[in-house]
Amino acid sequence: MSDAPKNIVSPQTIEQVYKPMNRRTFLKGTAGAMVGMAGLVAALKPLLALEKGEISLDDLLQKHYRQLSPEDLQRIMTMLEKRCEKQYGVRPTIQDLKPMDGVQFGYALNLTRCVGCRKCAHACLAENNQSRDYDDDLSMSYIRVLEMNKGAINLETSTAYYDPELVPQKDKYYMPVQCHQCKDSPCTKVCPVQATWQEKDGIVVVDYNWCIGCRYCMAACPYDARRFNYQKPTIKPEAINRNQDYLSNRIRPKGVVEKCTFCLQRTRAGKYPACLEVCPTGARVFGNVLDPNSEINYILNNKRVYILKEDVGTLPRFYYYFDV
Amino acid sequence: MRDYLTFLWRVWRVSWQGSWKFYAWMIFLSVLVLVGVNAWARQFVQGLATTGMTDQVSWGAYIANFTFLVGVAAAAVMLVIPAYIYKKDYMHEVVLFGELMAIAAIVMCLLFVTVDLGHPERFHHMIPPFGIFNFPGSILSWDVIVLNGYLLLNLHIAGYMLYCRYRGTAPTKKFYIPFVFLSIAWAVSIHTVTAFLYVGLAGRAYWHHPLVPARFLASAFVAGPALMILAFQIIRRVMRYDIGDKPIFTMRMIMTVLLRPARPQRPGAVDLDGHCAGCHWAAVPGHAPEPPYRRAEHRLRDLFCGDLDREGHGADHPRLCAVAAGPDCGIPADPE
Repeated sequence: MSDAPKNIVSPQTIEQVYKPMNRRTFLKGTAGAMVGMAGLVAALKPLLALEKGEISLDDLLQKHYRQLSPEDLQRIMTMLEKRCEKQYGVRPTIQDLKPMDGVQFGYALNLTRCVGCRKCAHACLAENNQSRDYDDDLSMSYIRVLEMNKGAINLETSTAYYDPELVPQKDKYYMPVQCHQCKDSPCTKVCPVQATWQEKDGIVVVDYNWCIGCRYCMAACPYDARRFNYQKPTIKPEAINRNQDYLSNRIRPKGVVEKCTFCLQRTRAGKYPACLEVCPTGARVFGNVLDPNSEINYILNNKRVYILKEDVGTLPRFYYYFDV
Repeated sequence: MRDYLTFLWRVWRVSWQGSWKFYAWMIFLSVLVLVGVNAWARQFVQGLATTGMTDQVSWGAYIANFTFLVGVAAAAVMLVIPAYIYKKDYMHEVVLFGELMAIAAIVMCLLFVTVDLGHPERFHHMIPPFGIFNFPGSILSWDVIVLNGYLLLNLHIAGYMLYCRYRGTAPTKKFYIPFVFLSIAWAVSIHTVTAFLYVGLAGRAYWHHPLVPARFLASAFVAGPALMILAFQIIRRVMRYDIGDKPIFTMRMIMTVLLRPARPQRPGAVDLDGHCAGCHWAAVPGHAPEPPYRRAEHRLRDLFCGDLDREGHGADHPRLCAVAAGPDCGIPADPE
C-alpha cells in the first residue's frame, strides 16, 4: 500500500495554464463553435413542426382553474371552442357546471346482473371524446370490464382483453372498473401541482390546462382509472360530442391525464351518466347518497355491498353489490 | 466575490483545453447529447407516444433510471464520511470526485424527470408564485426540494474547495464544514424520499414496505463506491493525479459490509423490499401474516443479522449486527 498521496499544486501563472490566444487558436475555436451551434440547431429542428399557436403566451400565463375569474374562464372556454373548431372541424359548446349543494354522488354496480357486454365502455367513448385510433378503440375508455373466474374475486386471474362471440361465458363473471372517486383519493394527494382535486359533490376532476403530465397520479391509483394522452387526441369530427364541460369531456390537449368524472356534464345537469343509460341489464345505479329516498341509498342500506380493494383504504364512492 | 467570478471564468476557459484525446472524447459525448436533444425535440412535438412505451413501461422506465441516479448521487457520502467523520487524510484527495459525481448525477436526475413530463413547458406550474407547489402533500414535491438542495450543497462545497485550491489557501472551516455535515444527512434524505415515492402509493401494493428506503440506501452505497473505484482506476491511469491505493481499499471495505443488506436474499428468508420469489405478498395489506411493526422489526433484524441462527454465517459484520439488534442477536457487542 502506498503512502498518502501528495498532490501539491505549485503556483502557476496564467500563461502556463492557458494556451496563448493567437490567430490560429481563435479560428479553430470559432470553427468549433460554429459546428457545435449548427449541430444544436439541427438537433432542435423537429420543434419547427409545432403547430402555430399550439403553445401561446396566454396558455403559459393561464392560472389554475380555481384561481380564474369567471370572465377569464369564459374567455378561455370560448378560445378552446374556437381552437377545437380549427383543429377538429366541429364547434362544441364548452360550459362549466358547478357542483350542486346537498349532493354527493354515489355509484353502485350489480355484479349479479352484469354480463360483460362492454356497452358501458363504448358509451363512455361516445360521451367523453377520448382519443381513439379506430372506431372501437377502447384503450382510452374510462371503463375496463374485467372477466373474472368464478370462485373468487381475484384480480390477478382476471383479464380485460376477453373476446368471445357471446357473453357471459360459462364459469365467468364480469366486473367493470372505473374511477371510484375515492373520498381519500391518493391521486389528488400526489399531484405536485394540484392539477387534480375533489369537488364538493365527490367528483375528482383534472384541470387539463394545468396538468404537467408527470403521471404520478396514474401510479398512485389502485383502480387503473386514469388515462394519459400520449399524443394529440385523434377523433373523427362526426364522433365528437359537442356538449362539453371544461373539467370533464372537452377534447384534451396532448400530454395530460384524464379520467372518469361520472359524466359531470350530464349528472350536474340532472341526467344519468352515459354508462348507466346504455346498460342493457340495469346493473348500474347512480344517485345522491345524501338523499334518503334515492335508489343508491336503498342499495347501500339493503344490499350486500362489496368494495373493491377496500384494504388500501381509499374510501371509494363506487360500490359493487350482489342480488340475492 | 469578484475574484470568485474570475475563478469561474478561468475554470470555464480551462475546461475547453486538452489533448486530442480530450477533444475526441468531448466530441463523442456532444454527438450523443445532440442525438438525445433531437429525440427529445421530436417527443416534445409528437407527445410521449414517440417512445412507443405504454402506461406500465413508460413511467417505470424513467423512474427506475431516475432512482438509480439518485442512488449514485447519494453514494457520494461514502467518500465524505471517511474523509470528514473518520478523518482519513488520504480520502481528502478524492472526496472532491465524489461530490462532483453527485452533481453530475443530480443533473441527470432532473433531466430524466424533465423528459418524462407530458408538458415540460408548464414546469413553472410547480414554482410559486407562478404556480402551486403541493408541499407537503405530494411526496414528489419533497423530492424536488431534497434533490435541488443536494445539488446546491454539493455545488457550494465542490466550488469552494476548488476555489481554495486555485487560490492556494487552506479552506476556512466555517465556510464548508457545516455544509459537509448537512450534506451527509441530506444524501440519506434524497434516497429515502425517493424510496417513499413508491412506498406511499395506494396503487402500488408491491412496494408497500417500510424498509424500501433502507434497502435503496444499502444498494446505493454499494453501487456508488463501485462506480467510484472504476473512476479512480481510470483517473490514476490517464491523469497525473495521485490517488494511491488506500481510498480504493476503503471503498472496497464499505462495499463488502453493505453487500449483505443490499444483496437479494434466498427465498424464504424475508427479503427487504419483498422482491424475492414467493414472499412479496407478505408486504401487501390483507396478505400480511403479522402486523407491520412486527414485520419491520423482523426485517431489520434480518437485514443486519442475516440468517445467523439458522446457518451460522451471519457474523461477517458483527458490529452492525450489535448496533441494530442489541444483545438479542446472540453476538458479542464488541468482537475486538
